[in-house]
Amino acid sequence: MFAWIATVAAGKMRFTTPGLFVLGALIIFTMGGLTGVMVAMVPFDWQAHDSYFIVAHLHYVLIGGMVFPLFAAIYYWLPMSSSRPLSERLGKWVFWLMFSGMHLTFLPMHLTGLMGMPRRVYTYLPDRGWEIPNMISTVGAFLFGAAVLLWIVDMVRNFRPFGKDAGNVYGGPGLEWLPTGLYSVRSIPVVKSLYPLWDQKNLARDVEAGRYFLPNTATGERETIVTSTLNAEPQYLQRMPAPSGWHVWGAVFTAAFFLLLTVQAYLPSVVCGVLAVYCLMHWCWLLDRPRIQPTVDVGAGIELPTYVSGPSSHGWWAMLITLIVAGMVGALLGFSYVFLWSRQPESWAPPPDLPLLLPVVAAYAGAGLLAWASCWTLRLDRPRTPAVATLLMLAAVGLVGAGLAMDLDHWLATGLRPEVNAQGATVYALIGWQGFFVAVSGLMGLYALLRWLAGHVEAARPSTFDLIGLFLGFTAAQGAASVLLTRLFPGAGM
Amino acid sequence: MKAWAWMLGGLTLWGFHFLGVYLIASVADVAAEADDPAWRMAGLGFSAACVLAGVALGLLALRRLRGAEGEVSRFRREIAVLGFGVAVVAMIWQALPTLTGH
Repeated sequence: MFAWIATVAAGKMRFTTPGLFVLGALIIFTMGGLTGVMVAMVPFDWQAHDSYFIVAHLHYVLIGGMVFPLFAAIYYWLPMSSSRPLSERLGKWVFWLMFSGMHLTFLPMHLTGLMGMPRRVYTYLPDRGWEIPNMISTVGAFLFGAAVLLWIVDMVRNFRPFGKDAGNVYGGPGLEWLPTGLYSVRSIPVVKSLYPLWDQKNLARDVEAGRYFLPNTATGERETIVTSTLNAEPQYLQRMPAPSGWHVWGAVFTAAFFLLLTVQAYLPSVVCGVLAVYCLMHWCWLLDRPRIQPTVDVGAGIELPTYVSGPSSHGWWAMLITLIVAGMVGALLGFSYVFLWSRQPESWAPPPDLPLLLPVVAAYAGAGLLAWASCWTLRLDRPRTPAVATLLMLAAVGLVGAGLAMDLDHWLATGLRPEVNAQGATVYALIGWQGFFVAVSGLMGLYALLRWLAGHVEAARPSTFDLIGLFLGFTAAQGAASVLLTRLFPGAGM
Repeated sequence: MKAWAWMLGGLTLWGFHFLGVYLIASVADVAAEADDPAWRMAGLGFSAACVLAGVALGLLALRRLRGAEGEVSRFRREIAVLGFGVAVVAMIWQALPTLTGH
């Protein structure tokens, strides 16, 4: 909030329709935040919870934080895909109707809530004093509806997604307003300010004339440049995926998987899940492509590599950061285990016998070692290296599966069940979380096998195996850690 | 790598302090009482050590800032100083419950 207020204060505010929506958003969101802080106090929330006070609060937050910025964005960026911008005059009517309607609707709800009106009721007894505020809310709601109706009218009258777009109607400084075609910008510019289109007067002309990086594609494909974190120095050429529908279908089937679960259509849901995995693997297939020339000239005589792996590659960091987040979740589960023990140490049953711990830890340790060995082998670049590396990776996948199976088997044999007590809940939560990772490891193993069968496993392209190796290494470490925790703390001597 | 270590040093120290303060109080809760005087002193000692480390490293970062050459190097060192500054304030704040005895 303070950053946004500073931006408005340090600049010169123009009260165009998007500008009005943004200012309205700041005001409404702040009001929602104030009531939010109020309900964050338990004594207050004891009274306000599940009352209309909360309804008022959440709508101030959502309408201020999401709806108004959404309309600001629509008005600001619509000229990028429409040959006519939306009407400024109608837009101001939309804003003021929406702003006043919103306050008229939700401000009285603070009062009705504190007067005792609960959420999610369709009727109530008279003489509680709720009738008048609710009537005011109703009037406000109709005003808000009128605003949306007016916006729809504006869209119908002006939104024309064909032909040349209307362009930078509001004179914004951002790079999204550079001339583009189906290929995005003709050349990738060097910018020297936060407001490039204002400060670099000839930028649009020079970009279109191809005076910056990659004016004509260096490899004949879609490509862009990956630059360094702090100073945006070019690091390597990123070959972009070719057009395909696989990621779209992957999204469709993923959504179908979850939505079908909500209506308890389990078999169709599983089918969609399998199809989603298939589409995502097909999409991934297109990402690690055969090598081309080792370096290319991207412009200004700068030669950049066309393939990087390891810590120089952003994909490697993406996997690492994902694993850090996953590790945090695992750590939280471990914390829950220790915390719940500390509340009721006497309810903790003894773990499986200590000798049974050894094969499980050995399986996980072996898996980690094999995953590392697979990546190391791949880089050796000998004739049978791809086969050996793939085999080692598959063995690692098998071992994490074996570790999980053994752990589950040992705990089931003790008679502990997840629904029995806190120990059961946390132990099986850890096993379940690990199970998810083992399942994904299995899919990655399958993917590695398919890559090898198609001849895509080679020393010159280690990225896929590097990332699978990272994931397997994490899965092995997480499994070992959770096994050691649940079996050694607090241990059998209690 | 070294540059990133300096930039993130303050936040790392703050995170380490938070984990330590929480761990000491949790162990105290099991071994004795959460506000047991001896354990509180241990917690305060830990906080004091972290704050001192933050101040010392912050001053060192400030000295490195004076020797900065070039825009990017200067930016990195400013971030490092800011990180330690924020961390010291945050660690003092986080030590207050132990100090006031709640």
